[in-house]
Amino acid sequence: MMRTLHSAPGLLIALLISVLAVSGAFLAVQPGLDLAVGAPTPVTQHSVALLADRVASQQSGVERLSRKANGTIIAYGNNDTGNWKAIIDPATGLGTPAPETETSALEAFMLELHRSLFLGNRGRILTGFSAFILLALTVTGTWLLVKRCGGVGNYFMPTTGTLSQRLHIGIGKLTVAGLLLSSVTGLYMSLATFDLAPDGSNMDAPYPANVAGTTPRPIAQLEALQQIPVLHLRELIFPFAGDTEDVFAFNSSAGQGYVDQATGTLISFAPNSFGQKLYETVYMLHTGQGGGWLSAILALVLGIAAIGLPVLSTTGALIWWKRKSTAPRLSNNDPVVSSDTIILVGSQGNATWGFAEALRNALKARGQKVHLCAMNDVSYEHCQAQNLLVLTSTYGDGDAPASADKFLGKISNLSGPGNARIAVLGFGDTRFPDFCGFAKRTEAVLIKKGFPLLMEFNTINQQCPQSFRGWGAKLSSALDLELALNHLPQQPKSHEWKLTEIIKNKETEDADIAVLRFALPQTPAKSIAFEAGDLIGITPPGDAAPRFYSLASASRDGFVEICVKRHRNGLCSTHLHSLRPGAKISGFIKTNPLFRPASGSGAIIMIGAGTGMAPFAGFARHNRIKRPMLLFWGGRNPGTDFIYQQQIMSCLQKQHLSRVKPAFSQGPKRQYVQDRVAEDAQIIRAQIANGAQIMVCGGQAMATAVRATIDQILLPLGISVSLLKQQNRYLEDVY
Amino acid sequence: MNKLFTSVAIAASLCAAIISVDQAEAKKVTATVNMKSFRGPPAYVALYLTKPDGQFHSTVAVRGGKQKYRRHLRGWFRGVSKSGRPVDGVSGASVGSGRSFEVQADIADALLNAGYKLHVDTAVEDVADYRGEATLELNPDKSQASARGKGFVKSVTISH
Repeated sequence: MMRTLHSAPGLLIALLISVLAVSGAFLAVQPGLDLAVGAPTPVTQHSVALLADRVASQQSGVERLSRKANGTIIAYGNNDTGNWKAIIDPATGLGTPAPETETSALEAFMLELHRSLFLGNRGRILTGFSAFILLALTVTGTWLLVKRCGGVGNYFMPTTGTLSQRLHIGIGKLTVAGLLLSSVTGLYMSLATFDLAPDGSNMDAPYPANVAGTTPRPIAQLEALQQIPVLHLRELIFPFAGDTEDVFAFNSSAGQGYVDQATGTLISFAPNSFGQKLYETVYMLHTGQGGGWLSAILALVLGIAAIGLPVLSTTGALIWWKRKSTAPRLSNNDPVVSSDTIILVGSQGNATWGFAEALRNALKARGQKVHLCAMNDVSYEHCQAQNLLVLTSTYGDGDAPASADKFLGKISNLSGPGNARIAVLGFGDTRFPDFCGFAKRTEAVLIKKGFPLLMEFNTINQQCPQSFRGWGAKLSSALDLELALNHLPQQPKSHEWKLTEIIKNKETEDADIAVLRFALPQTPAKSIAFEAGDLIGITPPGDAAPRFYSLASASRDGFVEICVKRHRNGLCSTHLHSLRPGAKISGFIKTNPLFRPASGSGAIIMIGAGTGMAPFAGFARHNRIKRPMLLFWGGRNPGTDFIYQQQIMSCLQKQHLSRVKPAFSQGPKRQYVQDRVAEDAQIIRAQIANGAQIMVCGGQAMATAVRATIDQILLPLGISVSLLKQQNRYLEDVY
Repeated sequence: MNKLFTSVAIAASLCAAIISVDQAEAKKVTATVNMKSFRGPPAYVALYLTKPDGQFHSTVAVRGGKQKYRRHLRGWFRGVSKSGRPVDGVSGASVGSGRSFEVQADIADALLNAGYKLHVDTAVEDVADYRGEATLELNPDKSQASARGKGFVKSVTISH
């Protein structure tokens, strides 16, 4: 719901807002430029009376003095030679000819474009409407952002997702405050233009009915004008020359009034109203004019935020399009009442729909009648089918994804008990604190409502096709059907990689671990950029699902290095182990931005087992600044598994690694990596207290054991792994 | 120039002829204002009549909606403020560069050929204000029915 409220108006007005943003950003530079180019320093001790007197004695036919927001004083007048205009030095009253307009043609163009799009009042309505939409987008966007981050506390955590999503969210986070201010003030100014908000313009001082009409005094002796400092002046209109009935009219920061030119008294005055002051503040905040350097700098900040708007519009449209184009097609659906199996989908970015469709097709291939729909569409009828399969992702920190946000409420209010046998499959990412939290809650609510279990709860990490296939096998036996569940999430473009080197410790049967190096493909370098810790997806011949390996190198090293452990029946790993230099494989890079060392020079504690060494070898290799890097690593056989031994020793020498603690489960001590971690409890505690980051890479069992060990170590500090995770200081890459 | 003059004269005398036939107490007068091209936002324009002694008589039309900025139409503002007469039904939107507009007004016979004058004041925000930038006598008998402006106005024409 909130997402529709965000994307619909955004799409509608993206282009318009972008035009206003670009022109606004251009204008935002002007107040600073005006100040930098050098407005004359205002001479505060002078009064308007003295200044006006000096100007009038030096220039003939002065009609008006105007003090601009940037402090420049301009005199306008008319004499034998026609109209003139001069910039006045406030100290001397001397004038220098002013350009016809203070603004350049380009600036005037941008200003009119920004105000009215050159469409007159219709344009003004459009720009005001845009400001309103931008305000709405900012509010709904912030709401979605907080929701996605899993709470305000996680607001500054790095963003995950596609490039468009990361740009949209990243820029959104940076610009939201600026855009909020720009849109609120812009909207106010727009409303004021149409008299829907006060700007104080109707609070004029009454025009004086009677004046002395006798001989005018010298201007310097007009008492009322003596009391206005130049700094407070906005405008002074002189009486017409020779017209003794006429008056001085002024506008100051205090108010607006008229002064008798013969007596020097203030004959009419209206103080600035609250509306006027409010309008002036809003004007200053929006334009950056009139508040000196402070407002000029604010304008620059708002301008920079505005530059983000075209990017937000473009990425927003791309995200929307991606969602639309991958949206499920439900044409092949059987009616609810006649279906054997109902598949309910909870999805945020539509990825889960792909898996659900594969499941539906597999069931239909076995003659089942299947109905597929969003979890939010659930009703009593759905719950009367034989089987109810729920496939759902989790949004942010355990929240419901978009297509399931009403599900729990609907199930709780169901009239009568559920009869269908249920199986819940959660999709998620173990690197998030509350892994598959919503899926777990879904199952708990269904069980509480009395639904019988068809199958126990299962999860899929990072859309892994193999796990999905495995779940399909379990489902096959539960339903007594032969199901083949094959679904490949969309993968990036593949390249050909040529093997240049394969390193094993011993050419024996039990050498299970090998390091493989591949040359970069002959494509423009920009299209393949990766860091150590990113992944390469390799599809073995005769299979469709890619396997992912952590990279031990970055693209700037000029090669791809991976570490592969051979599994007895592993299709991909045995294939890779059998390769000889010169052989080619097909693979694609998948970035892994959640698994990167924090920037800066703080300590990194790296804990891994087996091939989980790969990213750490890469991090150490690139540790040119010699930040403290502690490595804990576990292998089985010290003879064959310690594949990076030589490189690690040389890293220690070069201080790219500060401490190395290997453990071998089949060595003389029979240790696991968590044992070495526990031995160094004091060192680790001290480093964590100093802000160190922990990175864990390896198998699930090892990661669980390490988490428990670290929790023990952290106990005296009163913190836990989950807190470190929230602070982005405990990163896991687990498989 | 001469040609223009002659044709204006002929037009004026034709008008005069029509007027002399018409016995009504007021005449329908059309004033056309052509703006020059100028930089800046649209111009505020006031058309008003003055008495033979130069004092303000009445407003014919005001273009430009912001009360605050109308003060810059200086001759008109002073006159209308002192007269205490509200400005009703004669206002419109401000006038952009190069545009023109027409105003129709019923003017009492007594004001014609009696020294009453039509004045035009203009103001463009942050550029300039012009009081009486064009002045025309309300004199259908005389040949002068058109005047050039000193500021933002190219010409003002009255047809009776």
